[in-house]
Amino acid sequence: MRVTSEMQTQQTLRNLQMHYARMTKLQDQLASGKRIQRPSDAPADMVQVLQNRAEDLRLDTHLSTIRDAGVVLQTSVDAMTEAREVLTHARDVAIDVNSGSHDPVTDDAFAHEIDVTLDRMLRVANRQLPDGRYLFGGTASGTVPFDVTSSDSASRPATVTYRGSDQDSEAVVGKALSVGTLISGSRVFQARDRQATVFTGATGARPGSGTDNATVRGTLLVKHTLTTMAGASGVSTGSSSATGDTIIGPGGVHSLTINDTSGTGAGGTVSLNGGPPFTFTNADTDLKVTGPNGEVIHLNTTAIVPGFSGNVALTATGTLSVDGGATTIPIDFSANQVVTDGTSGAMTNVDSSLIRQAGPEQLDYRGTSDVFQILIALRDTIRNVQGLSAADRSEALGRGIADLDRINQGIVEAMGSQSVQAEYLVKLQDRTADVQLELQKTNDNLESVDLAGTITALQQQENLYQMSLQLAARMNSLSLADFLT
Amino acid sequence: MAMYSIGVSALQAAQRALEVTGHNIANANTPGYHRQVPKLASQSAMQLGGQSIGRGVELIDIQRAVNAQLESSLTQQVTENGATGVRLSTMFRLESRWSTEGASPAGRLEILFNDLEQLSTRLNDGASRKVVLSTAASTAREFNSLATDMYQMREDLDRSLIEVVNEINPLVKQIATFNVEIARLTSQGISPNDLLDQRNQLVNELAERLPIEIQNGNQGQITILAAGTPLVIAGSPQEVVMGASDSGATEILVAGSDSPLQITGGRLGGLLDLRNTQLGAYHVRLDELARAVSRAFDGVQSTGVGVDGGFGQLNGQRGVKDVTAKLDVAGLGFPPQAGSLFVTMTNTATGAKTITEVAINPATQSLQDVAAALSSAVPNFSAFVNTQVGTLSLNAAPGYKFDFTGGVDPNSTTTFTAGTTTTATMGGVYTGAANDVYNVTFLSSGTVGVTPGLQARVTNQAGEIVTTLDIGQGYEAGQPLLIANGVTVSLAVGAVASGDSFATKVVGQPDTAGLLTALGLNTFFSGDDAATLKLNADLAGNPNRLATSRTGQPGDASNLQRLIALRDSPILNDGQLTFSKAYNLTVADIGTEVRALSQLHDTNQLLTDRIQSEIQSDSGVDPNEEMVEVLKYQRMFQMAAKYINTVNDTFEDLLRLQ
Repeated sequence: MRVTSEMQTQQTLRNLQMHYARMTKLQDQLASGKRIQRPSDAPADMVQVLQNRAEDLRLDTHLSTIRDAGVVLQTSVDAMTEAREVLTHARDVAIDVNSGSHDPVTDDAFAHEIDVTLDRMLRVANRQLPDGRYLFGGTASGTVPFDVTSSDSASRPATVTYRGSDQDSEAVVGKALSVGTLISGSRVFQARDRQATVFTGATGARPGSGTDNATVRGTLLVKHTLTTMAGASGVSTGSSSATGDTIIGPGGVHSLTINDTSGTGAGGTVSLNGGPPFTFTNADTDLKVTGPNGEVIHLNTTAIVPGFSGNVALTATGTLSVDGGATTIPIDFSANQVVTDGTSGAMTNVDSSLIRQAGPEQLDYRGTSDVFQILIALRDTIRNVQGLSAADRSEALGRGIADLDRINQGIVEAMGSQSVQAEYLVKLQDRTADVQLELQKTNDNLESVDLAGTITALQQQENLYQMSLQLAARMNSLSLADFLT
Repeated sequence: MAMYSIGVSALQAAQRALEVTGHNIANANTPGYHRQVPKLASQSAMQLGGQSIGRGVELIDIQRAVNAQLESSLTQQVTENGATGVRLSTMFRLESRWSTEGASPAGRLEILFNDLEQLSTRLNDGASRKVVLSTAASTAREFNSLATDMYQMREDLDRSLIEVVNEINPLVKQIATFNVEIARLTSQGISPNDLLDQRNQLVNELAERLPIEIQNGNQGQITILAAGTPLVIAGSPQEVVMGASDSGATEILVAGSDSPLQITGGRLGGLLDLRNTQLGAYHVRLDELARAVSRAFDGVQSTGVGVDGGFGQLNGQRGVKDVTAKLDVAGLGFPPQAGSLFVTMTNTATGAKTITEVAINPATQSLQDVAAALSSAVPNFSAFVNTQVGTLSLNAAPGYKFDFTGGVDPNSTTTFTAGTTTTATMGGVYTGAANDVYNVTFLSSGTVGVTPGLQARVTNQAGEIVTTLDIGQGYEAGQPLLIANGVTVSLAVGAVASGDSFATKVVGQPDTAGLLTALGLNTFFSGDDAATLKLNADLAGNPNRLATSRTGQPGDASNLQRLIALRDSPILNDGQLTFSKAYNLTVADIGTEVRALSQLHDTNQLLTDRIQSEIQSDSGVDPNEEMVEVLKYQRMFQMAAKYINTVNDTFEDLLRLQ
């Protein structure tokens, strides 16, 4: 094959260009520290690198949202810890009052202390984050969650209404991963655990078999409507019977014992349910007779059959009402009667089979009061605005303390839930940081230059380049012309 | 005297040969030059005295050292080089533009998703909302910028095509001119070696621009065809011109012809392929990505609400070309499909809600028909068509707001007999993705909260049992009972009769017709491709409209989570690729193509070098070789001169004889 100088020149140029291009590429890689600078350097790896870089930034965001969510959860736990302290203090006050070791004149001071506690609890329940969000409003984080909607005559809170949402607000902390941060206040401060309704009174009414839906407290009014007498004793209801009798019961449950001592119907004794005998005359049109349990009947004894001595079976009907008498239903002496509040529609189930007297029955719908209702009830009970007997007041205080314990338990559970999430976030943060580190390592392996290998390769290329340059310089140094004379 | 003439012939031959050799040395570095070889031959002998006496030497030809096969290979190779070269340079540019980190649509989209995720922890932070919208606007701008650059690249390709065409026509003319001159010299018996070299150089230059076929003609002339169409016939050149097809593709035609040349190689072929096919294909992928992003974000945004809740008025951002044309042919960028739109109306005073389903059929309804259907079906609601711009405006009556969040329809359809006195209240937040109907049937008669064993069965639209609820003794009337997917029902105090039932709609897809996206109603973006994509102006002006919720509550991130979920949703390529994967795979495809072209370019370079080396081996000038030739002919000249001198001396000796 002939070799020409042009071939030599072209070959030399090509070699120089090739070495220079390779050297430049290696220098670029070393200067940038990256093996892949353009997609065409390694298309498949580049896709992975781009994905990894995006994922790296995403993990940065997740670490940030985890920190943010962690702060919210910790603030929430702190607030609930304070709520528990408030509850503990209220409980101590109630126990103190219930112990009876204090002079009753100090009750007002205790009641005031509960008011202060109530105010503190309100502030805790309406606590805000630095950015203005309410901790316990759920998704309604821009609204004051617990609103005092009515006050008593002394401008003390009487009703507190929850304005927040029942849904927790969630924050995204990972891929398809979110945690509830702003918890619904209804779960924290309005924890419900309905139990059998407590009836306090002497009517004989008991909780029915159905499930009530009335809440907090109420009063069952048992009213007498009509008393009827069996047999031919000649006794009849007195003029005040309809409104004044307190006996209630199906036929035979109540009875009169009449003894016409005059033998002419002019006078004798009458007793109710074996109670103390009352003297009657044939002039009594509205004789009040009281039974052994305080039950009352009004009698007309003007027509007692002369010489009558014996028992008279009584039947007394009545009505039930839970809205102060606005809505009544007749007592049917069954195991379950549904008594509905005509205003709220709330239902109370009453076992009326043992109702024997008219009168009020205090109802305590256990496990349905929120923390504010409990504190308000405690305050009112300490002041005894209901006029309860000492025993009933003590019992009411006891129930209030139990309710505080129930609410406390609810807060503990909510705290537990938030704490678990906070703890989870700590682990998630560690895990996310680990994943990020691994990702960065993977990306380093994918895109970073092998320093030792590249420096060696660069050195080689530099040597080759130098040799090519030297060859180029000497390429035409020899020619036949040099040897011709 | 023949002796003199023999010497003179040698002198002349040596002189001509020296001239040819000198010409070779002079053109040793001339591109396209082929070594010339003087061909000497003895002159025919004369007959003298029965003897044949030679008459000396003569230069009978100057031959051009050429290997036709190698020359043809080189011509083909430069065509290949031309195509690869332009492809590579454009694809390099495309690669750089698509892979610009931090300024690519995919990069901005990732940042947008990061901002959305960050917003989930700062929902009521106005600044964070603004950051999201700012990033969304910059994402749209990145799409615009890349689309503009793609258009710019196409325009640059058009300019390059014009340049190449403008280079081809002079080349064709020059080749024709050379044809004429070569034929003239050849007819005179002169070897037009240098003209052939120059024409050959022009032919290769032409071949670099478009693939050609060379046919040899008479007297050294050649005919050149491109895609079967003659460009040069003898001395007649044909002009090529650029044109455009009906579809907007650039075409190359011979002047006066309607048939485009099917040019697939050379710079011209490469540029045409890039201009008409490859660049367009990547632009289509960019548009598909932009449209998918817009459609997905719009679908979620339009079916959610911001912290201000529902709307009193909404104005569409996308219009039809003809308000009376059926929607599927009305020129909408995102045509709707047959389906339903569920409109939720809220009484702002009472909070009472109604959800009304309006059927949409783009094959039978125009924009005006849709407006009429919405106005008549939805109470306290009206829809108007802006005939000037073809958009739809929606208005709520005073005291009402509307939205398209769907959820649980609070108004159940009851099938109650006189024996049922309870009332049902639906509640909760529907978390399901589909539209459904929950039917609640009482399994026996009794009193809610009282009768032992009283139950109600819930079935879905398909008749499948969803759950069975205990509503008798043990159930606290009025308390919510979970049905499924976040939906609750509470029954008031009262009686229920066996077999009585009620049904409630639950709406997970409030806009199955895609009408809101189609008309740009409360959408995230406006525009319908990469070049026109923009953040919705209404949203840009009111960050509170960023639909993070489906309830309007500031801490409700349910819709924000739907937006965030788009990041990992395989929306593109028939549900196979996420946004970023689709983009990155396109980048990888470009990278793969560039890599393949680079390798092809290197291979072509090697092949070209090898062919050129082989051509050089045959046709190149070796100065040493030529120097030897010079010495050879110098000696020949010296010998001839010496011979003449000797002859002369001989004659002088003869003349001295007295």
